[in-house]
Amino acid sequence: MDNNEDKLPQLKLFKLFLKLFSNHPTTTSPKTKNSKSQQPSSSSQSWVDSNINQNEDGENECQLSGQRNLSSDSILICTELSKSNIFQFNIDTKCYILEMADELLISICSGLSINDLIHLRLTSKRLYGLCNDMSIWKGRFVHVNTLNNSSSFLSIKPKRPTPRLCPSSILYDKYMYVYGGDNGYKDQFLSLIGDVKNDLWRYNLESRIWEEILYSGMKPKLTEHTSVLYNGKIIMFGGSTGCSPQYSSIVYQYDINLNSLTVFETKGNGPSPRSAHTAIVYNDNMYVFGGWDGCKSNNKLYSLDLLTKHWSLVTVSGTIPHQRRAHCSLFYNHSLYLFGGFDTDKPASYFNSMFKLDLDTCIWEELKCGGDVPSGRSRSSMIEHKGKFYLYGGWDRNNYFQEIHEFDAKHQHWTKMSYSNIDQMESIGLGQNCSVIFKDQLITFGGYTPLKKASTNEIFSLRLE
Amino acid sequence: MSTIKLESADEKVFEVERDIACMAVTIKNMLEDIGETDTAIPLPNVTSNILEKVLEYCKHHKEHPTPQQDEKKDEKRLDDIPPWDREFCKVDQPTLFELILAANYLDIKPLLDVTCKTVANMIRGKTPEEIRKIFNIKNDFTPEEEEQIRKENEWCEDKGN
Repeated sequence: MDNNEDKLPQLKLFKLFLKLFSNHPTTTSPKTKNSKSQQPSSSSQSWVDSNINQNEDGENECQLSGQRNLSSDSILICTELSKSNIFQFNIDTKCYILEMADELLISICSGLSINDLIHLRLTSKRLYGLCNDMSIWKGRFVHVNTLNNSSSFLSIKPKRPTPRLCPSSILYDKYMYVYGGDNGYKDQFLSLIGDVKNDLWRYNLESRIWEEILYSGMKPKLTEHTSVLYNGKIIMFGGSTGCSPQYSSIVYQYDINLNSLTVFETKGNGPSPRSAHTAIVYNDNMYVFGGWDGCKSNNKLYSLDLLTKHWSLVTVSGTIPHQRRAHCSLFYNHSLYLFGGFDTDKPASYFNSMFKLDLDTCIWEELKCGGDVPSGRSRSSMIEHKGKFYLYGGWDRNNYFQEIHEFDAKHQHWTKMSYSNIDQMESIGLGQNCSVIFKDQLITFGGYTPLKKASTNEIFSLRLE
Repeated sequence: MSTIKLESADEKVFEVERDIACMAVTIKNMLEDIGETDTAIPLPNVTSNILEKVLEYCKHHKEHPTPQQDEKKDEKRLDDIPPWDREFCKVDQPTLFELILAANYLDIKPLLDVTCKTVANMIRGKTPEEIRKIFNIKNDFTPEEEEQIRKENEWCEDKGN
């Protein structure tokens, strides 16, 4: 035994080579196979002993395979392994990791980065399944790789939209359409509005390619405006223009099939010029709530009948929300839901109540919510998917909220989602971004990243199931 | 200082301080259920060599309590394993995975965390082929299946710049 001690590392290395080449059918003798199967399950010591007994056999094998197979690849693996502190010369061929229960493997995986996870899931079927477990992905924003449009290789046209704040977006087919936005004063979250844009882009969520749409007709510069999809048309309202007059009350429509942007001529008593309002569509009507006209916020609800093109101020009752801007709203189950927002009217406040307006009865209700109710915030994003609302980002002038909350509409219950990729959270737009839902994923584009103190033009995805 | 007795799967009896043994929530609960006792508590799922390691871990952490940190933020970080724990986890794979099983069974969360993080660190930054080699994982995908997953992965794989 003592004589063998000196040789041991060398022998082990031989064995390692054997193992590396064991994919090749001729390099593994029946004898080796047999001894492997006899190997005791948890005692690596006796396995090392049996290596020594096979000395001659192993040596022959190694020389054979060494001549044939000493590729740069296998050397690389050897160096890699020898760098590792963890039992680099263990010739044990048992796969201990796959003897673990799912629950333990998932807790190992939950500490891994996205890149490590996608490598791990390529190793075997069981790990593939485990790495896809929703509990590992819950709350993780994933940076989506955007491909270059090969047809525009020689073109001088930009291949993707520039970084921006407050663009609007809608989902149509497999495309996220993005219009406008601004890239104002860099070092502040609530930017001075500047560089207001009038470009229209669409992102193919399947091929991951951006494409700028060269459209005909009007080309209004808009930011902090709203977009809704109605019968193959993108209806845009309000927003800041970055020039005089500062605020818009014009309704535009972009017809996706005709590729033209025109003014949607309206009648009746429409809302005053405003930005940072919200808009949703229900029963051929576009509803617009709140916003900022340069002097004050408001809490008025207007509806635009998209068939008759007639505006009207909606008469509402119940618990009417306080005036506000930079809030979130969405449409769900015959109702308009409203969360957050900001108002400077004495005292300055950030709201954290969830309001619900039944659009059939026009009665407002302040919901009594349980769970981890988010603190007051503005400039957040909120989007609905299968009865759950997802709220993320935003700020209250002291904090940027690097967090995601899930609201269960049925039980009026908030849950703060755990997240593990803090780095990714820092690089996504935490407010003033735009988002859509596509195939059970929340897709977000643009917005302000506190870490870089600048806007972004990256796309992130959050798996919702 | 009161002591209790623990008996491993291979019938070795360890006499340990009660406080140290109670870092294992499972043992703590057992003691609460049965009250004072002189008989050794059987731990049929833990062998003596693993139990010895586990008790070494508990003893060290009882004597060197780690200051409370901002748990929320550091919970999932892999690079925050304290030096003593890092050395403690430098063991062969059978031992490491048995420690995970024991930490899970005895319900010692800090030990479970640190051993799981050690395994995660062995995976970190490696290619699929390297991961298979390290853990002896058999590739049971057909080439077509593997290609399909590679395509899925392209969606979010960060190739670095």
